[in-house]
Amino acid sequence: MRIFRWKAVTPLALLLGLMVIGWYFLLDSTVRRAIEVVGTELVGAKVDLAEAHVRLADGSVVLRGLEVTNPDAPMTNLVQIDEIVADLRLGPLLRKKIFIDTIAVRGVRFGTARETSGAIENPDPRSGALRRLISEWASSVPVPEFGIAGLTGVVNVAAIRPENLRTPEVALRIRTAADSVRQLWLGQLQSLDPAPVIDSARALAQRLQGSSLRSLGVQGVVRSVQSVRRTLDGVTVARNGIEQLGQSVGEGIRTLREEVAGLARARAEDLANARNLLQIPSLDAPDISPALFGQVALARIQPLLYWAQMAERYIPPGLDPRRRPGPSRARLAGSSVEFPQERGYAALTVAFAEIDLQLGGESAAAGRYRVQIVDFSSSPSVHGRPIRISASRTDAGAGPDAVHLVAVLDHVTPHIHDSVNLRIAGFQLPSITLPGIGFRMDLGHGVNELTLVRSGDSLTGSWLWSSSQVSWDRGSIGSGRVNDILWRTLSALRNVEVEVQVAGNITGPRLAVRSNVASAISRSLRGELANEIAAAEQRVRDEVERLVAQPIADARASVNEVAATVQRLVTQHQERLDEVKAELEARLRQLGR
Amino acid sequence: MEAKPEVRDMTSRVVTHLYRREKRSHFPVMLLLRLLQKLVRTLNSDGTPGQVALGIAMGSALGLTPLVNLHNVLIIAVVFLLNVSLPAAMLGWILFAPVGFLFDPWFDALGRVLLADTPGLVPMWTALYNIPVVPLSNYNNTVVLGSLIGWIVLAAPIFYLARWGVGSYRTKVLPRLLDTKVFKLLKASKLYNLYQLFQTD
Repeated sequence: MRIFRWKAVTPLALLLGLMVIGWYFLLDSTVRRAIEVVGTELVGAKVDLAEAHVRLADGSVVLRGLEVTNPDAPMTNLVQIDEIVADLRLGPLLRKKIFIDTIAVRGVRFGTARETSGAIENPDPRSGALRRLISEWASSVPVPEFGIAGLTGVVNVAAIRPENLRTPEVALRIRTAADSVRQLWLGQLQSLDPAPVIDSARALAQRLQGSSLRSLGVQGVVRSVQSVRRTLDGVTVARNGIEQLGQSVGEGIRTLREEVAGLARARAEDLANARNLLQIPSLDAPDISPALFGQVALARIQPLLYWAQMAERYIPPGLDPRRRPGPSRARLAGSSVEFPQERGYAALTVAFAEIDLQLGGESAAAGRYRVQIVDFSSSPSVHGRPIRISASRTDAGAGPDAVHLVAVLDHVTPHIHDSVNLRIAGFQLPSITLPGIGFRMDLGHGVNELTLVRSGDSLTGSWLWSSSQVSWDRGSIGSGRVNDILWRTLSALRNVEVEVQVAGNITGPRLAVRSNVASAISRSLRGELANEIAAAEQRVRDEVERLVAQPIADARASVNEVAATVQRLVTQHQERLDEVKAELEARLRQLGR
Repeated sequence: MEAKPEVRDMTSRVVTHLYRREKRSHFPVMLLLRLLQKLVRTLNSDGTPGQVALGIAMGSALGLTPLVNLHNVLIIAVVFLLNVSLPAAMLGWILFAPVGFLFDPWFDALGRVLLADTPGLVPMWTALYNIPVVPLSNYNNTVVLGSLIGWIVLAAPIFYLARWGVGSYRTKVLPRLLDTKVFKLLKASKLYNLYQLFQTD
């Protein structure tokens, strides 16, 4: 029987040929569909592509009519791109890698309306997970309230109730803890009671008093020395036990005293809460700034955190294998693992990209922008070079005088180092209604400057808005003493600076806001309402002090009492053991004579 | 009265045309029937039990592993080029496709152990991942790798079991089956005539 079926060669070759031809003709729609599916998975909303033309012989790919839905507003496109032209290297395709030498993107528009909704029925939970995490962080950032109602009204201190204060609760917790450790330590002291050891040592010392080599003989001396040494060992063990307990007591007392010291912080928080309760605002500028601009700052910082973390997720550093969900199919998708290799090819590399952005309309942002991206790689450790992004305005018209963006995403080594520097001058800055005051501040055209540096997991940065053309709108805010003082102060303010500083871990950095608006408010209110504010604050302070002073004193006394009692007992035991030890050592010396 | 030759020709052309049109409209049904006939003939007499068993073992790869993958192109080429039973390969595919779906969670777990949880194998996977063409095989997908390994392990048992099964069927089951009244009745029925109508040879 023949093993090889020669007559099958021609049909097989024909079949393979047909498959290749079919693949060639279906390539365009396959690429289009793949971009839509992968894009939709990444964004969590529909990504549509009108057409894709792949010319493998020329190594060129042309994509037209790309629409990426905004997941938060399904009837709006996050971005719409008319045309993307890319030059591909064919060799890496055999390794299932995409290497684009150059890519040109034309006709980029943002926030365009969609004809149909881009929402998807069952969005991948992972695509929205990061957004949710950042929202949770934002809602956990405390933004103080600023209200002027309490500045002139009657201060009703009865509203301050002990159950609303934290200090008594913390003080009670400290007292309970002090009582518990007191019981524990006394129990331990009892179990380590050195009295039997001391008594036995004393008895031995007395028995050996006046003994010598002559009276006991050689054998008697040897036995006595052994007996003294054994007793001394027992004394040392008991001494060590007491000493260890003494150290543990010392540490415990230190911790309790730190807790007591922490009561001052709780008292300060209670005072601030009481002020808020009675709507007596703090008039310190560092407290007013976050109250006025905290929400605006959070709204601006959230997208930055989102993109910084997205950059890490999709452009991870290092060469560790990476697992991602497998392709959608009738069978189980499983996971696909990528195994990047140094000096190999990343899954996606774009050596050079030029994006021609055109913002239409009459707004200040209208104009042409040129964005260049160099050495973009989905695996910078493989590519070996950081990603560099720069953007500038090429045609301004009525818009900003200058737009300058430089960003470097260095994910080559496991220690991520990203930096972004953006400066836009002459741009329309936002209008902000000041919370608690109600006046509207229109910043007008000014400078918008963002500096952000990520090093490892720590993030530092600042966002500065400065304008010298600020205008104010009182809106429907009526007259009144405080309102009038504020209006006089603020409406005279033409130069305004608002600076948001961010620092800390990338997943939850701290925010600080500084503004000359807050300083002006603080100065003017302090100047004009000094007496009223001082009186109101004193009443609040007195009431809080009245409610928290006793619990604090009780907690402090409780801790002091525990410290005194236990430490005295420990010292006593130690001293008695030391005495008896000295006595035994004297007997030992005496026996040796 | 005998019809004129030209009338006969015309009648013949019309009948042929009608037959072809009918054949086209029933193409999928006919294809299935042809496949069924081939399968029955393969089991009954076509090829040696070894050829049939090898066909089933090769075809099981198409069923056990996700179909659209490079290794299956190789399997199809081998089935075509080697003298193994083609209908048996199809039978293997049909039989093992549901098994593949059923076993997917285990294939996924096996693939995960090999690809993600065995650090000792990472250098080998990394080297393979960076060799041209190899990544196109999707070996780095847990289900593809797990099912491929599963098929490699199961191929020999499937082959021996199928060879024994076909041999036993031909020598013991088929003669008894042919001798049963039911089969004789079936053979005498119109259904069998219809079945034979679609025989090509």
